[in-house]
Amino acid sequence: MASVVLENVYVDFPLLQQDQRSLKRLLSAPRATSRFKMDDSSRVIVRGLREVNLSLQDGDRVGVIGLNGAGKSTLLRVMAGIYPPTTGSVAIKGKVGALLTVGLGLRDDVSGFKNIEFCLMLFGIPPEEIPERRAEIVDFTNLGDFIHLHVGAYSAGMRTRLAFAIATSIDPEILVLDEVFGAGDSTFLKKAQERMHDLIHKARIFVFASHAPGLLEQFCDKALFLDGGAIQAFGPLGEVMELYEQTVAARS
Amino acid sequence: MVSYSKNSATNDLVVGLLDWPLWSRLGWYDVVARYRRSWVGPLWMIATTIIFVVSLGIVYSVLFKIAIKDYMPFVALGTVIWTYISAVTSESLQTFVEAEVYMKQVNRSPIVYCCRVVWRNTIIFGNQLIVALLVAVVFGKFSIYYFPLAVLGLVILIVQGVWINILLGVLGTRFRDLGPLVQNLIQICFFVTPILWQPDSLGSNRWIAEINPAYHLIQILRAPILGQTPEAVSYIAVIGLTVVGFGVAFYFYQKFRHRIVYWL
Repeated sequence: MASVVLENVYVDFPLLQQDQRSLKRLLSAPRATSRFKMDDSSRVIVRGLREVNLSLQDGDRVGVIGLNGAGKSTLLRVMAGIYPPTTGSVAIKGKVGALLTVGLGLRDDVSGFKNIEFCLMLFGIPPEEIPERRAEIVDFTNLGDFIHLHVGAYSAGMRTRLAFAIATSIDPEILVLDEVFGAGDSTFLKKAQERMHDLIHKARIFVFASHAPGLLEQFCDKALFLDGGAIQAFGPLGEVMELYEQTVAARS
Repeated sequence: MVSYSKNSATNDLVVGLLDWPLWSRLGWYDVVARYRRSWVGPLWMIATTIIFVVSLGIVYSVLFKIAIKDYMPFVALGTVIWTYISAVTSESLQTFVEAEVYMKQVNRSPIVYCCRVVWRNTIIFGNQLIVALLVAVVFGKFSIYYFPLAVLGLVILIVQGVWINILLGVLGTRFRDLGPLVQNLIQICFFVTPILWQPDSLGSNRWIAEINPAYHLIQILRAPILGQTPEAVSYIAVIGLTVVGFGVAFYFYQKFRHRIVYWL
């Protein structure tokens, strides 16, 4: 039984690089909805998520929608255990796999073959399972002898193929997918799609951040509409999509 | 299973240390990347040490009027040990910064990245130590009489890298301008620590060396290799340093470990 439970989750990002003084001046103007806030010791922060309450169970396939900067990626990272919430609690049961960017962990100076082993380790695959998965990845990428060449010498397409194959060789119970995780050249595309679909269907809980209505309809039955870091709506895909489109239309 | 209420700094530490297949590879690939495409490759680690030690040994033995056969092994071991300490210290500030891509994509114990920095410096240190040992052998100063003590000293020395890395890794991620400050302190430390000069030359002011923890850290490895008995005070100082160091590092780590990823 896999589950994701978020209770009253807030995520604040400290602004460390920016000119703090000019930002503070900005804050002194009364703007109630601003995502810039000041914390207890009057440092400027950006509120990434606020008051997020969410409970996902086995079988949930959720599309996360919202405008740029609405907090989609932040929410995904909280579920993946990367961002610990500033306040609130996160309880996740089940093995989480997060596909947030392509090419994580690939090192230019070692061979594709060794890179597979290394990346799988980075993703937390037990050492005894690595040889089998590696064989499968080598087979899938179709790189031939190139697999023993250092990755720095690969073409962009070859690199993507390898990165994609490695990233999708995980078998998580909870799959967290960001739309920026695209894939390879056109001949490779069909194969990649099949693999991706397979991964999505095997996951017990699937969370997918995307702007593409077609993909959302294909894989999800629920949607979560984020706006300004807060949940605006959570429910059946059709209803929430409609609300989202109305909101977007009203704003533009 | 991710549950923020249950995981702890201690858990991070244990999980991180046990994940040696990962950090040992990270560290090794760093070493490979550093010497990639240079035609003498990793031999550079050894070559630079030889050049440094020989030139310093010749000039300073004349300057200090010490027989070269006594001075050369002393300075070779001292500089090699110091190089490890200073490299770990200065690189530790970047520990989490250079691991940003990993830290923002996968959920692993941050201690893994600390061990990575310690490990890659241990590999380089191991190579350079061979040079220093050869110098000691060539000048007839190498002794296996205190071999167990030398091994103990080596282990203690390497372990220091772990707390230095955790402590400065956390601080260096938050305060990016610590780099120049730490560099400066390292340089000062090199000159005030008995590496190029012997503590006896301080005469009645020997305490200047004695109060310096870096001196004791060097001494617990240098002395037994050269066949001298390390003093008890060195072990007391080094054990004290280890306990306090890990204590302080652990305090900062458990206080700020959840913030690290936000500071990147």
